[in-house]
Amino acid sequence: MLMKKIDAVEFQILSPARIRKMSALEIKTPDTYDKDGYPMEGGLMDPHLGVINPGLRCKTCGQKMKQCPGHFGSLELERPVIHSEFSRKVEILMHATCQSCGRIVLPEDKLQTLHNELQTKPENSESIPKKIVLRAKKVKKCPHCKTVKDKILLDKPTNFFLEKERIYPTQIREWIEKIPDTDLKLFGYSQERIRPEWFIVNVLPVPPITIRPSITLESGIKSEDDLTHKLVDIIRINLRLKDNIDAGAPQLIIEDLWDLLQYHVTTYIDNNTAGVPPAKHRSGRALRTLVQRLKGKKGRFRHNLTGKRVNFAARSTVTPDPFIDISEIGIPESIARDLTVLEIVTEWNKKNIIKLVKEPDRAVYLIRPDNTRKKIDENNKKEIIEEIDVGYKIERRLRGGDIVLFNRQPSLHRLSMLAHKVRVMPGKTLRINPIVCKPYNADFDGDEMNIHVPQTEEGKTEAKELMYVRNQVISPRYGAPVIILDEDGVSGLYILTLNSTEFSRDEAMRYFYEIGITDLPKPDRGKNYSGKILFSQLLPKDLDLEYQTTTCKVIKKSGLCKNCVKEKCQFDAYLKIEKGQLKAGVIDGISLGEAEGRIVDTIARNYPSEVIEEFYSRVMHIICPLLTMKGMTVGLDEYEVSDKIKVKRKKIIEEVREEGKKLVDKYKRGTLKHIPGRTLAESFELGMMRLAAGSKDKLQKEIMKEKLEPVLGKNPEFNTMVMILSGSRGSSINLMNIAGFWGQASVREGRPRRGFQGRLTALNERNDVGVNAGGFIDANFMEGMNAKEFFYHSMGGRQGEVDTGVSTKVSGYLYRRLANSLKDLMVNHDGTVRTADKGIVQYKYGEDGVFPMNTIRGKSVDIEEEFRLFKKKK
Amino acid sequence: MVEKKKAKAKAPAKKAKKPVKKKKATEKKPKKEVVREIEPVKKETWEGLPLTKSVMDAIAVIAERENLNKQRTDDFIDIIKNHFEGINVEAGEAVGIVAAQSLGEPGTQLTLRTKHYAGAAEVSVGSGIQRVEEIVDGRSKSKYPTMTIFLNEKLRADHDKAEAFGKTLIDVRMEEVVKLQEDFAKKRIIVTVNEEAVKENGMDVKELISTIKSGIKDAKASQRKNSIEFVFPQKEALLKIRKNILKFMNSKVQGVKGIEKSIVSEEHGEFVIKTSGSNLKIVLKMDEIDSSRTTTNDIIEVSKTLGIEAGRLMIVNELHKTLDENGILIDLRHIILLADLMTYTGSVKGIVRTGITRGKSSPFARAAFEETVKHLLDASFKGERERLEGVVENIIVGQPIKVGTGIVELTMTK
Repeated sequence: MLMKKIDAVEFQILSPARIRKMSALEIKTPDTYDKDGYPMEGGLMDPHLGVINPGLRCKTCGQKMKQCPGHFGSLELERPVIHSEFSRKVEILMHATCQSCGRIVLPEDKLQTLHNELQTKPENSESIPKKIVLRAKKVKKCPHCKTVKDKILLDKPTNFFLEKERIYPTQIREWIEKIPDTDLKLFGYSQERIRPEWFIVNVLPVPPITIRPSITLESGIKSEDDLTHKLVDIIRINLRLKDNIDAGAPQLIIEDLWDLLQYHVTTYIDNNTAGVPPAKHRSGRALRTLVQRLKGKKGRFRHNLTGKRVNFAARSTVTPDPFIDISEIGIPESIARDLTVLEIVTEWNKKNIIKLVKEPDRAVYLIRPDNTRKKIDENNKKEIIEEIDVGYKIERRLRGGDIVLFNRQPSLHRLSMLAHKVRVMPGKTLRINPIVCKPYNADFDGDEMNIHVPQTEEGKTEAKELMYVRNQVISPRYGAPVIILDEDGVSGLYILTLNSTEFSRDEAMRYFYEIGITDLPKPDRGKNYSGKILFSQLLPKDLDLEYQTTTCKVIKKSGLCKNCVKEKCQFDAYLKIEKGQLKAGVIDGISLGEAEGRIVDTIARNYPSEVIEEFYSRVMHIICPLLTMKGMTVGLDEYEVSDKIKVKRKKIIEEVREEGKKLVDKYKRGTLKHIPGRTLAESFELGMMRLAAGSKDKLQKEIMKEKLEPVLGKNPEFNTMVMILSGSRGSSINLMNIAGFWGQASVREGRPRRGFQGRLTALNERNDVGVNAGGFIDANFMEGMNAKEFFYHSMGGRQGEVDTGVSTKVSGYLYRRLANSLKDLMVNHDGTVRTADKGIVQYKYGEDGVFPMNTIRGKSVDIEEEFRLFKKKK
Repeated sequence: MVEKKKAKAKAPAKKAKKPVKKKKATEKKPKKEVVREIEPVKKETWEGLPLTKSVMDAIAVIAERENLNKQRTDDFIDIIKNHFEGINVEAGEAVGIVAAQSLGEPGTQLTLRTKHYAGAAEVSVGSGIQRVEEIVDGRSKSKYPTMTIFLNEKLRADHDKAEAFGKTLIDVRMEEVVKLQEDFAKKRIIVTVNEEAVKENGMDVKELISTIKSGIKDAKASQRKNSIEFVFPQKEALLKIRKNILKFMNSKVQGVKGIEKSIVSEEHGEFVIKTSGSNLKIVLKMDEIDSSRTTTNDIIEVSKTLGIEAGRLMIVNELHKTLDENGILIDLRHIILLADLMTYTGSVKGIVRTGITRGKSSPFARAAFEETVKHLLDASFKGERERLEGVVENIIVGQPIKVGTGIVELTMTK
């Protein structure tokens, strides 16, 4: 595809001559439309400046709305005004040069050395003007013409004073015109390109209508753009100034009008200039003038140029469908009807396309080689089929098997936009497999997501090769799976692979049918099938793995297990897979979860990507019916603890109170031991925090021990523990909070402090620093807190809420800066990492040239594993 | 790979020459044995291979353990070599944006994660986002500067000695240890030594008195116990006296400038001094410390005293540490790339509008970031040329970007 390409864009400052030259029309009247509603000639909406009505032709270039880019006009100002954005540049020149001869007020030899410096060290060019001004300010007399130098003062933004006497733009212009080009060079002005007197504007470019279109409201009233309003103001004042000058009005009135003109031009450029009241609309709204149009998040650059609106996209709520593949997306019929795909007719697909057109309601448009379009309907189908030939294009509706891009905002990483295969389905929502929630960070509480349909063959192939879901299972951030099972997925497989799980022949057959297994394994438990053998059917036949599971970690923490006996583990916490058969161990978080996912990791890495997709698809087909039958729910009785624990809990809380009292005593008497580097009060607070945390740990372990037992036995009906053990959701802390006690409420890593004078609530004694007055909560979620405890708890909760708010803001901005600085870095063909300016940042990416996505959690190669394979081959 | 790198990264910024040499010597010995028994992995064999030293070392370990002969070793090396060819970055890979996303994306997730345990005492850890921001900004003043001072053999085993040394580091000013009475009518000043404060800072009263005496000149001094009276000549201008005294009161009595506190803590069986406040330049010169391991957390300071490479390493270490503490998984290569970008010009440049972005040559790229108008005006004043080489620039004009598949310039002509 041959495209016109922009090679470069040059930035310059318009000279008055150039403004006049490019002007299509000199604007003379402040009126826009006459009473009949036609644009005034020589007015701001003159059709010479471009067209905004479709159908009309431009009076300058004769083209229609779409072709005509619009044309600039010009406005001659009666008196020059200073360009407010460049007044600092003018100030510098006035400080440094002589009013009468225009030379820099430094002796010739000094100027020469500066010229030399500019030539030999161009990197210093920024500092030279500063140097000159600094020296020139001290000069009393011009060394060239011996005129006495007056002091310059700039009253921002545009008023200049010469020894406290106002100096007007005409005089300034005369002054600055005298400065020779050679002297200007030192200030960074290049001879042929730019002259400082251009900063004193005597002719103003009037932007084309296309840039400031007027809007006709429904009521028929025309509403003008802010820029047009501002320009009208300028022209009006300009005319009044002219009339007054012509009538020979007193100097004072002329100067007033001049200042007014200056004000309007200044606000026309930037309506937020410091020291100038912003120009307002009749309604009191500040006008959006040139600078405001460009600036900020809603400005031209960030809003329209770096972010663009697109066609061929759709958006809807997402809902889960575990029975579609991870790479698939369910698209409602109504959306599939509206989205179209461009298909180019070639000699190879001509037959298929004709077949497609023949089918009812599949192809929508015919595009001829001359780009004319024709709508395809039942009546003209025959002619169209006759007409279709190589070089024609067809726009057809989206159908199953097409590749689309799917995206959820905020798009924080590249996995926020992946390619899916279309599957048209009934309903009105977009359907995704819940496994792909992770990369999008989506849930189904009303999240909406977008689809984009690539229109070219290049686009489709790139999407499929580079962005297809099943090729993106491993994260480029840490080299471990991100598209993973979580929550119920993990719980499901955990329940499935527990030793106690068994299926009758009938049940097992149902699952085998669901996952499409025809090669039936033999039952391993008499007539029954174990869950492990069912799971083994999902694995590739040559998979070998061995490691400790999440369950192992939890058990170790609770102190039930001392020595590892590997696959003979009594808790079944050691996993062993041999030749695709799960010999021992349960499947849980470490096999499936984020950043670990050992099984997923191995499958995704060592097999074609279809295998992982197939694996996930089958897992879903087993888990969903399994969990539906078994039930995955928790009841309050799960959090009921034994009397033994209740007694223990009372004792521990009692202990905390006792210890707390002792601490308070020590603190008040001043005998408390200092923690190095902390004051007494700080040491005390820390001691109290540690005391509370320690007590919580003690009870937590007890509760865990008690709750672990029923799950590890024959009857794992205890779903809270299933979740904790498998690592699918929650941890022992949550259990503790529900069944034990909450412990110390904390605000900013310490005990809550603020509230009333010397106490947290009015219910406490003043200056009571004890355990309970400091925010210790005895209650748990089961029994509920009392008012005071609830209040303490909410203090901690509030801090969390505030922190997230602040932190998202901070990290959002941090991310924007990071992305902006790093985005141009790319690996070049020679293996170096370079910036857009071709500066070398790294000679070899990451010091070893390995892309993190291809690593195993950062490791470029697992040498032991490679050697194992090497030995096997022999 | 990464373990090796981590080890390398965690080594102190500036290695003293001696320990390094020793290490090498100890490393070489087993290698030589390898040479004799089985075919060695000679330096020549792996030069020119696309393998890093750490990988070759690991191969050597295996070769020795498994008693591989030369042929087998070479075969194995070939396999590893092949493996590497499959996992190298491809040309055009937008590694920069991937790094930015890898650092930026968990930043927002982190905040959501802490939310879950609303304020329970055990898990509330400082979010760390401030520290990340501090490092990435390349700020010249760290908010909480702190030094980790490792001590020499004599001090590192003895808690009391270490503590005593730590005290001498604290920056003590005259005003903290003396009391001042001024009588300007008589042009007389009485300086009283605060014995308690002196002892707390581990100083000697007598010494202090002599420094006080030499500190104020042009005045008659007379001592009474712990207070010294100075009488200035009557003709001396009051303003001058006052100025002198203020200067005197602010003069340093002991310690290192900038260090406010010091704490002794035990780390891996030795005593280490941690300070609040930092002054690497001066501390490094002290005899009492182990200069090969002593560091500060102030990146700019490190790069100024030890050079830009040390600064780069500091960025990598500190970022890695902070992210690790917060449980954020991120490949070291992303952090290295960021550190390299911040330092490749020879000075530490922050990821802020005055740092990296200002150095970009493209006016569009600068305007699209921050201070849009300023950059556009500057560009037109200087007559800059936008060459459309970066990513945003091409998005702005609506062209395909020159990254990824966009770097291919071959086109098919029918």
